[in-house]
Amino acid sequence: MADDRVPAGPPEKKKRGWRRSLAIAVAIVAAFVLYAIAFQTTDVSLDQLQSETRREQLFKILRALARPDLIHYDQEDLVVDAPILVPCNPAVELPATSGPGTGPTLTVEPSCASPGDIVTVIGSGFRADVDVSLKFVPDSEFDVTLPLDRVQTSAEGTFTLSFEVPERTSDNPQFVRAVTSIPIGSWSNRVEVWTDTNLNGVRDPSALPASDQPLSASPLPLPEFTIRDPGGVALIDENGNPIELLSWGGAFEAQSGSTAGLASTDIGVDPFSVGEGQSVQRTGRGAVPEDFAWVGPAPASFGELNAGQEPFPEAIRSRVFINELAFGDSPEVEVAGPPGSDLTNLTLIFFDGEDGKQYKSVKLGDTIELSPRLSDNAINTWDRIVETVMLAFLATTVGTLLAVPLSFIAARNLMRDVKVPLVNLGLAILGIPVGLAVGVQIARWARQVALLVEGNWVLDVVALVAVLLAIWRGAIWAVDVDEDATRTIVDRIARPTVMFLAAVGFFVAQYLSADLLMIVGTATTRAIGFIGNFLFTMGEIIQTITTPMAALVGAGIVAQLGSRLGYLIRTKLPRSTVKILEFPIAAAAGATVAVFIGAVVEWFGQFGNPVATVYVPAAIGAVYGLYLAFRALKNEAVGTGIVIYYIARTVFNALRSIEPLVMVIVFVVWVGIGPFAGSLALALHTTAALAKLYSEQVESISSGPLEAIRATGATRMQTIVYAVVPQIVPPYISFTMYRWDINVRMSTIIGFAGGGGIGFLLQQNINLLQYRQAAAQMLAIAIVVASMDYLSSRLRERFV
Amino acid sequence: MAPMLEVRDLVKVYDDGTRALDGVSFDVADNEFLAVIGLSGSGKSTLLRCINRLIEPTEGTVVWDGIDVTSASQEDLRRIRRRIGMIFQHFNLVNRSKVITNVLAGRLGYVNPILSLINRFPAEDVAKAYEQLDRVGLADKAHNRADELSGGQQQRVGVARALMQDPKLVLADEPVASLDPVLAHSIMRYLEIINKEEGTAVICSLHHLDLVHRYADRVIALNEGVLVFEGTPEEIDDAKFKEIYGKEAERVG
Ligand SMILES: Nc1ncnc2c1ncn2[C@@H]1O[C@H](COP(=O)(O)OP(=O)(O)OP(=O)(O)O)[C@@H](O)[C@H]1O
Ligand SMILES: [Mg+2]
Repeated sequence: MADDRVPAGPPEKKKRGWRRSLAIAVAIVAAFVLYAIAFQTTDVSLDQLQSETRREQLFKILRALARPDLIHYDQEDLVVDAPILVPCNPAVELPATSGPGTGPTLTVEPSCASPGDIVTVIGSGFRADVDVSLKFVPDSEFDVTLPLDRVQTSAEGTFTLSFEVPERTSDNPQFVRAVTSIPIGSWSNRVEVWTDTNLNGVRDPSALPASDQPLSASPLPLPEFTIRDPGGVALIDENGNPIELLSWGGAFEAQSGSTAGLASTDIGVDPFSVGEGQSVQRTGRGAVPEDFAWVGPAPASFGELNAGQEPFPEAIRSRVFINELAFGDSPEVEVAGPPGSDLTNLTLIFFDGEDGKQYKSVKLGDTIELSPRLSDNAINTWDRIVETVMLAFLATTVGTLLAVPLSFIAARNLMRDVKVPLVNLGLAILGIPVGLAVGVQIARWARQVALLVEGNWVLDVVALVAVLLAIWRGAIWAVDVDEDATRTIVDRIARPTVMFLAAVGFFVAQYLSADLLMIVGTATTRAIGFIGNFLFTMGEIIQTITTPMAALVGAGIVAQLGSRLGYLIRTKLPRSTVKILEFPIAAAAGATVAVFIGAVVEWFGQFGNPVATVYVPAAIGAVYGLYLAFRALKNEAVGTGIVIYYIARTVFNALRSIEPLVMVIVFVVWVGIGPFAGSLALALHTTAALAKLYSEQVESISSGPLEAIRATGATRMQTIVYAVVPQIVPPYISFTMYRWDINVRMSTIIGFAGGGGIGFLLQQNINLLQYRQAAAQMLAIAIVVASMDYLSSRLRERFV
Repeated sequence: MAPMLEVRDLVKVYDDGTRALDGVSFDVADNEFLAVIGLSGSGKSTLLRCINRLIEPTEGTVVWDGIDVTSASQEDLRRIRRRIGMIFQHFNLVNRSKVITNVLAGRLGYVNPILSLINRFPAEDVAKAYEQLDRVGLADKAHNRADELSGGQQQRVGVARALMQDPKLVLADEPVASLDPVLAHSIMRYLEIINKEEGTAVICSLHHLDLVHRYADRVIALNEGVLVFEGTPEEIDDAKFKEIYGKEAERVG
């Protein structure tokens, strides 16, 4: 045989090789075409990548991403006006430049012009490298301004700008206005928190701290402005009277303000030449401020008495004074005085040592304001991220709870052996509609019973406890199988009756606990709103699901009874009779199932055509039942388990393959936009996905223990609890964690489709081109996803 | 007196068409120690599992204690199973559960189904479980996890579990095949005690003929699902041996 093939081999091989090459060539061409189509349909375009404007856009976004909108500085507008006359009119006198003190100055050259002329604005004394917006303030009874331009100040705080004088003429002076924003939070970073009651971590500057010393001190970080050298500072009391005027680099006489005419006291040390953590300060023993001598540079002690400072208790009274100065990188002044002194209306006024004029005043009560605080966007983001995590949490919990039982019916190894003789099956199916009706009726009775005590929580509790105890005792008695004992009449009638009553009792208990939850919920709503709401909603949920639950349980019980009846028929009647009976029973059962399916189709399609959705399915079902009965002539048992297995698997796979992002659209239509829709969609997807993963785990457990437990005469439930559960706990935990990860990820974007969570905010900001806001959300997502990922992997390590 | 177990024309055809049992019939008397021998794949395990319907027989009947096992309802089947202890080659303990839980599982057919779901057993069952563990010399291991035990210890737990069932019949499927000879004898001796002192019938599939000679009252042999021998261990001469194990087989030991 082998010899025969050898000569035939080569040519055939050659032929095959040629075919192969052809196939490869065709495959390459096909792949080529495929990629061409892919490029075409996805608009791959290098032009777009390279285009200047696109790139600029990209950089803009990237820059925004690098600066997420998380922190907000409270800002204050600094307004400086410079007068201008349009047109020139020598008869009108120009007013002085107005602005805060003599800090930033603005001049217009020339100071009068005709409309259309080009004039230049020069600014100086501004903060370095900030945006200044320039406006023209026309002479008008309304508060209007015409925007001119925006400039950025130089490193020295100056700018020049030329503009065309607008068509606004007036006999009165008009103004050019420069507006800059000062982030007033940014200069209080050095505040030490030591009498802190302010949530922002900023000292409350309105009073000196309490202290057991006769003297107390408070650091006052200064706003960002250039402190002049030589210069001076005066401390002014609430009535505008100077308390003291100190100077550095020489003494001067104050020329302006309430201090005019006052001579300064040179401190004799240089507050500018201090290093990091140093200051110049008063020290020594004394009763009045003047007793303390200035020394330094020495280690700074803002907020505390200075080194070697020993105040005499009796003398220092009602005098607040400047105790420490440092004009290094972040200028700071310390004010000291009797503990608890009110600083609210005190003012620090800074003087220029050259001309003795004041150029800056800092009101203690309101200059030291908030440090950077979280922006609204950051707070929003936080709220949403909490919502996101909770959404994932709820969905994972609900999904897990539902998936665990479902996974058992989707496990082949558990379901394979569930085979039911056709008579039993047929009667069981016929029992289902009856059971549903009975269940609904039972729920109604249970409701009636529960209504007797509903509304009164004491009665509720008493009744609930009583009912639960009765159910527990009753159920245990009813299912207890006596060892091989022949069953007496008591067993045959009393036990099922008690079981039935226990079932009714169970639903009564459900209604009672629902009522109790609602009462407690209403009561707690006032105290702790969300807890009360939770309890109330749980009560409502229990109340709502009781009827469907009762219907299902009823269906199950009556189906079970049908199956029992089938067993009796099979054992008590002659075989041929059973076989004959099988035909009508199977036909009826088949028709029932088919009509049910028809009803579902009708509900979806609203065809209104009973022939298509009732009669034809009934006929088909009946015929199929007859076919099964025919087959059952030879092989009794029908593999119901495997059928259920296939149905469950198909449903799970179908649900799993629909992205939650798509599912949420349906739920949004149902329950409205918001996190509830998102949780429902995620929970549904989680249920399907976990049920599938879990059931695969069940399938992979070792069959030995299963077999061993079954061999002891255990029931199906016992087998699951004793042989299956111990084996699946670790993988179940692991899969739940894995799913938790996925859900956190999903919940961050489910808002894109209206499902709540942070995605909603993100999408909104992207649509509004607010990239810095969006960046905050992206950052939050990254942090949450990464940290949850880490957490779950740690937990997984622990448990598995 | 009717035999305690009657197996008649038992046929098992697996779903893939394998005919694992082909018309096997035999009886087991009360107090009997019956060995089942045969080549690997001859159907021993299938036979043992058909007796308590862990595997559904395709045809034939099994009558145990006057009850037709093959047509029993699920409910009745559980009542039958709980009186038939089973011991497995691979012990089949629930590895992640405690030893005591594994032993108590032997009572599942007797206890209240609801209470057992929350791991509640009657006090006398718990006492009995400790007693059985003590009997197989593992009292100190009761609270270890089953997979922390050695093979021999695990099989002793398996024996204790079977004994918890108060069995009238013990099915042992190659109980010593994965143990060394010394351990094998110690396990077999437990079976012997159960059989001789408590009068429990034992059906035990075995690979080693010396064990068969040492412990069995009677032997049945399977070959490709067909019963090819039934008799006492002494009756297995060379000719029978070749019939059971095939022409090329050599007797060792
Ligand atoms: N689940 C199954 N599906 C299909 N065939 C099976 C199955 N279980 C066993 N078989 C086949 O049935 C035959 C008998 O198997 P069985 O396990 O009963 O043999 P055995 O005598 O116990 O062998 P061993 O001594 O190796 O345990 C073998 O051919 C085996 O391949
Ligand atoms: Mg085997």
